[in-house]
Amino acid sequence: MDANASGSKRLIEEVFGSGNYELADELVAPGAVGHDPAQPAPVTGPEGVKESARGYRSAFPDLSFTIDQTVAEGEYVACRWTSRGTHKGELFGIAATGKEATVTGISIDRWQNGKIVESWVNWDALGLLQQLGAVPTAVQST
Amino acid sequence: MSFAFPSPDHMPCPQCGASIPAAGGPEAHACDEERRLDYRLVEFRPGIERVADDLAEWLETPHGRFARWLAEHDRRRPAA
Repeated sequence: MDANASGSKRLIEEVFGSGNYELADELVAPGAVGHDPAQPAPVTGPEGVKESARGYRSAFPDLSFTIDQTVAEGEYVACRWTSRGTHKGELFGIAATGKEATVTGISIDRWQNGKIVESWVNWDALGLLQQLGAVPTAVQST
Repeated sequence: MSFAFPSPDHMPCPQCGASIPAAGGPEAHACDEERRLDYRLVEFRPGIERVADDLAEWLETPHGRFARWLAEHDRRRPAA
């Protein structure tokens, strides 16, 4: 696995999955822009990544990630991941439910000079809301 | 025209909240007792958190004020 792929994997597993927030300083460039449809605004720089990770981990303190696949091409690294955690704090206005959720997603990072300068993530926010009981599932809605 | 959201691959167990694969169904899962109790506690948490506020409010009622006075009175009374 090349250094960029290893870094993208570490960002997900260690910053978001273990709460090692300071690692974002090492992996994310100042001024980097992250696009997460679940966030109200683009995530900017290492501080933005830390704030985002803290937000998810305050809602899911035991949040963990498994990297299912990594694909590297040029300056881009794509990671397909599965996350798991127990909802113990407010998220998107939903108070703690105590429910455990499993969510999948794909992140794509663009690397320059050993740091991530732009990221795009798409994850199953609808599936999470359904698992937390905030949105009906197909069975419930028919 | 009808529309239904797709179902996620995993759903929480209704008894303990554990994330279980939807394909296997809840019968393929055995609840961990500690998790089940933690999960139930979340349901009761709003009531538990209200206890202190309810008590503080009651202590300001005539009954509550008298109960406080009586408790203090008993506490200061020399042991027989």
